[in-house]
Amino acid sequence: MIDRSARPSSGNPSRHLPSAFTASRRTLLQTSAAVGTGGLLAACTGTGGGEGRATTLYTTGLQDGAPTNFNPLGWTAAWPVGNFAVYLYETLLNFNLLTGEAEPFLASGLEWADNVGTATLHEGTTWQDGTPLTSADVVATFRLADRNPGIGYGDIWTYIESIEAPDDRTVVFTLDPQSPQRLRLTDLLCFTYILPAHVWDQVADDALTEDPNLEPLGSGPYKVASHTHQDVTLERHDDYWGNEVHGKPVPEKVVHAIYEGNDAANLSFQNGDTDVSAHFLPRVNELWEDRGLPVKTWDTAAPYHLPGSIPMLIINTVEGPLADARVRRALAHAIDYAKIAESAMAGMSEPAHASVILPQGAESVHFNAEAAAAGWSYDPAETARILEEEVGAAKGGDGVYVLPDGTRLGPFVAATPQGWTDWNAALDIVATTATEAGIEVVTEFSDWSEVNDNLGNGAFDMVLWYVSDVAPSSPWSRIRDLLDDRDVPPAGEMAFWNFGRFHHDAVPALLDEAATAPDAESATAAYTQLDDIIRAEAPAIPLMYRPLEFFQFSEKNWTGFPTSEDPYCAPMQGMTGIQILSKIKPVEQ
Amino acid sequence: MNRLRALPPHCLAAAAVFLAIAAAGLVGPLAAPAGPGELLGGPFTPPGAEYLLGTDHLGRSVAIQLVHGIRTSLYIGLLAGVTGTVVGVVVGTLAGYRGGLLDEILMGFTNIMITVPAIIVLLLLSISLDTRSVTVMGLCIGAVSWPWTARAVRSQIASLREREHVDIARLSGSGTWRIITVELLPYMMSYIVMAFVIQLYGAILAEAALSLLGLGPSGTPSLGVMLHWAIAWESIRGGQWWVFLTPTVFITAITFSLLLVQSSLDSVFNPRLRARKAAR
Repeated sequence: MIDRSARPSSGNPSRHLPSAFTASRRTLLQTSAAVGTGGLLAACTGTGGGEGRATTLYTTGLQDGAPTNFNPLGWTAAWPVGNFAVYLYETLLNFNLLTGEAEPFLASGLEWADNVGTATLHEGTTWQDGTPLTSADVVATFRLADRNPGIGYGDIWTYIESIEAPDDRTVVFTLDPQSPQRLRLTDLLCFTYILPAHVWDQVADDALTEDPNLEPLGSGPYKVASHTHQDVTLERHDDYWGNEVHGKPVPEKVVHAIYEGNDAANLSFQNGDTDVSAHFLPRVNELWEDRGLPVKTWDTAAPYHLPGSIPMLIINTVEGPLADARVRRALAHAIDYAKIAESAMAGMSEPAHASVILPQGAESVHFNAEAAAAGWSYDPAETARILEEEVGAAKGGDGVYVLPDGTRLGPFVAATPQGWTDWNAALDIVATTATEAGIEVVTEFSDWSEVNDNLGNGAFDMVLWYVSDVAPSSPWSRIRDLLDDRDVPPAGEMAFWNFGRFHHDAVPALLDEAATAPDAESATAAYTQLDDIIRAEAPAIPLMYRPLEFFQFSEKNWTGFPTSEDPYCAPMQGMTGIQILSKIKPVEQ
Repeated sequence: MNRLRALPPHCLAAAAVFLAIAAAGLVGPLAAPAGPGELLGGPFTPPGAEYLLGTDHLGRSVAIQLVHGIRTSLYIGLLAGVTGTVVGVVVGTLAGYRGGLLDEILMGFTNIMITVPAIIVLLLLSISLDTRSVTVMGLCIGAVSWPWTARAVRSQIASLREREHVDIARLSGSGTWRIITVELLPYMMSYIVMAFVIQLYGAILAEAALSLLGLGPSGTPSLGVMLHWAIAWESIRGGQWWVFLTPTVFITAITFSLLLVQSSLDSVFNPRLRARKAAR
């Protein structure tokens, strides 16, 4: 219930993991279950909520449930380590959601020469304990993956040949000439926290992913001061190495309040108890339009938030009538996208285009509006035409089409996890409008793990799921996750991408072409061809756009958050870190 | 009819309320201008001339959802009520009349069922079953609600079977089933009818509770499902009172009216009890 609408953390590179890696992780979990994790117990003290509003920023929505660990190598790290809220640990580069650029962070930049990428660290990078942060730490961080196969970036050696540190400021990455994946290296540098070698060298190999790391030592502008089941409190680290380079953070404390559910969190945000919220807050515009509250989002007009992901209706392309691309295309015409944007997303999305590329933000350069407009749109008459003329189906007495071989079109089960309210509502709309158009669809909302298992094993008709958020490698990674069937096992075995087991002969070559394209135009050309394949065969249907993080803020206590009128950085807490915290100002009381 | 006149007026009023709601559930879906799933208007339109009770988060009419929801809830209630009552009466009668080892076994099982919280069994059943159909849900609720009926029926039967007319029937060679159906059950009818009414509203509440937790029937509106979405879409914080108040009021009205009817039925079915009281 808590996790409704807030999907698992954004930008997580684990979405791109090959299956071999995950299998080894499973073995590891079994063997290391009994391994102790060391007695790093931090004192848990409560925080005095409401005090010092001019020096404390209250945030919420990025941590559900009590924090159990701050281990960036594990899978359940609490805020701020999870969600890539870069307050504590920092990455070499920082992905800018607005421009799609990988910007300097710990590194001042990444220079490419053929297959060799050279990252240079900023001068003076230090850990919070005063030890210098050098290129040796960077190399050691990536080398951790050799010590424990459960670490998320364990697949780096599939596309990187070597990582070297010629001096203490420089790190040289050499790509594997067989598959020179610049995009994936950029992903890696944007989403891998650099860790202090002098701390993590002390941790046993097996414990690397299990260590609770309750007193984390990072390089960022904040330290964990305390954590309870109700909040996590960060304290400013005044000797932050980046005070000059990136700016000095204003709040002395940042407190993440943890609520039982969206309604409690939204109520406290509405009352001004929290300053920034990442909870799904339906009809957020009513807060300023009807109630006159000092609340804002990225934009004062719909869709209010900046899109960062596309919930995708993934269709099983192997089994039953849906294996026929014409039937899938007929289905795509039977979905009321405008209604989904209006009702399911409560106005916080544009109606979805017939394209798996985001029309706004980082991916907009690759978005081909003309090609998207030529794709499907809500048009039940077109559904009828495709089914009757192209497929030769006839409408039965109950209004549902029957194929020439006697197969009835439905009931198809459309599944998504229970409690993701906007996703549930979107599927309800799909079921209603598709059934009206003659393809019977029924919804099924169950436990996340059940949906996930069925999806991976190919035991589904259609599932509404998340596929690769915006990242340096998107839309490449998203299209690959939808279309590429290389290394995808057949139905019955767990797949980690291309759940619908879609196959098209032209896809692998086009994907490789896009990955190695010399410039944006030629990449866009390849993406458009791939997108055309999706438009023709509909293996997955984009239903709506969601932000990577919902970002609504109250100007009652703090002002200066990014908006479309002052777009100094992306409207989210993940990845932006100090960019926002050095710009905001307390309101004069 | 004389017995009906003996009923207190509040009981008649309650019965009228229940019958009116039941009628709405029966006739409403047939008379409604659209289906319960049809996306008629914008989300959260307040009640007015166009939509009697407004629209929900998807723009579906709350009034149409309501009449379909009443029908679903009543159907689940009836099914669970009948199942629970029949199982309870059969188990209780067998245990009470036959006694001995069978009694021990059946009552042991019944006591176990009573100790295990019904809502947990229901939750596990709902999660483990593949289908979320209305009928399966009704049967599940019935399957966990019979133990109290079984216990009460057993103690009644155990005392009834010692009566003379039962001895006479036994001496005259009547079989077990004949004794149970002719000599024992008619004496139990008043209790069974009241137990059924309790089962009925218990089942309607159980459906609401399950649906509220998101385990309701899929593809069909019910009063509990309506409440679930009202809460999920934060209608209370958002001030869309029609969305959550409508199912709440009707669940309360159904269960409260049934409770009133049930508490008054005692006097209808058991006039001797009253007569004896008056004589003292």
